[in-house]
Amino acid sequence: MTTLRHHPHDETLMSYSAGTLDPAMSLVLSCHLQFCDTCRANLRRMDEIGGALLENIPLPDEDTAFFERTMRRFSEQVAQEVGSVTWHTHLDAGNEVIMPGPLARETGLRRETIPWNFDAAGLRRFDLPAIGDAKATAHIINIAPGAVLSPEKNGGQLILVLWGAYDHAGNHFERGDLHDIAAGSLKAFKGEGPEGATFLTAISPVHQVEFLRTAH
Amino acid sequence: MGDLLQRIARDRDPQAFQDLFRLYGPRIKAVMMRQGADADTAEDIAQETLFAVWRKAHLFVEQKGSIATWVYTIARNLRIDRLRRQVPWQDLPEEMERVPSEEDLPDESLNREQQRERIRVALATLPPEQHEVVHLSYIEGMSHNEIAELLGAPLGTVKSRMRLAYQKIRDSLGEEI
Repeated sequence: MTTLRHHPHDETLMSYSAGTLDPAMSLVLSCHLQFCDTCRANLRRMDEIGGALLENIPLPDEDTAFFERTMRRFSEQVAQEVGSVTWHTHLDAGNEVIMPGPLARETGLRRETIPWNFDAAGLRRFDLPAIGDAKATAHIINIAPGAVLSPEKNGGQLILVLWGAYDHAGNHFERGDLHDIAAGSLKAFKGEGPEGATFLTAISPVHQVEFLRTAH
Repeated sequence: MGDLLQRIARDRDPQAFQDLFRLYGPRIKAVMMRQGADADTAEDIAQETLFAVWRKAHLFVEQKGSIATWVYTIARNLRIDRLRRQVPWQDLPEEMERVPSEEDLPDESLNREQQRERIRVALATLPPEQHEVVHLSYIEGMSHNEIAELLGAPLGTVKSRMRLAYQKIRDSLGEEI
């Protein structure tokens, strides 16, 4: 498996672990996890915090009705026990075809069926339908080779590179890399290599107007 | 705790399921309600979580994380899916680890119980301001922004407290950063 160079900040991964990260942001992050051993290991450590805190909660008063309802459902479950479902995990960053599972499940899309709803001047964009109660919006964006996306502002934004690569302030981002942009830097994104960059991004409401206007 | 898991995974002992329920069912339900779920939804998530443990215990038995963590993670994922549209994105945690990786969980020499104990101690000895943000995030389900607002502290402060808390936990597992 390729070694990735760019990862979420610890506190971003922690809010994912706590289940409080915005759903659109969580989608981007969960796609990164498909590629990244390091972040999966960190997440597991962070999840240990959740487990320990769960055990620390004082036991609520006994709720017999809850217990009985659960046992009733349990008997039904045991009666129809089935084999476990197989999921595919562990994307190889070298495999250029596959869309990360979480994104494929959310959108039902494959790479070749992305219905670009904006397409001009070296930029293509697909706006994902709203995800649950997400405040952030999710988009798939493609920058052509050499094309430049220069938002007036960005920040509160996660980007996962799906295919190709881009340059941001001299840093190189490629498939599987997670770009965690905390606050208002003013750097340009430049598509690199023969195919430019296709990336999934979630943008917080504060900056989405700025970012997407530039993407027009 | 290890015994409980063995009884579920190997013996398929229905009595063990009852023990699992007593340990975690009411706690999961309580956490879900604190995080805004209504009683029915909270109960449903708690049940689904325990059923998943019952079904997947054989996969978990070889893993290193604690059963509480596993329970927590399943409940969290179910809740997130519920908040969205029930499309599961994320694989159950134990299935993500079928392929061994170089960075697999902490120190190979730590068993499940030791690990759990170290994390428990590390959490208990966190400075109060770090423990507070961790608790508000994991148990009360508040976002970093909401925590900053509640505490009247800058967002950056909340984030750095979270980060510092994690570093302590990580250190307690005996890893070099």
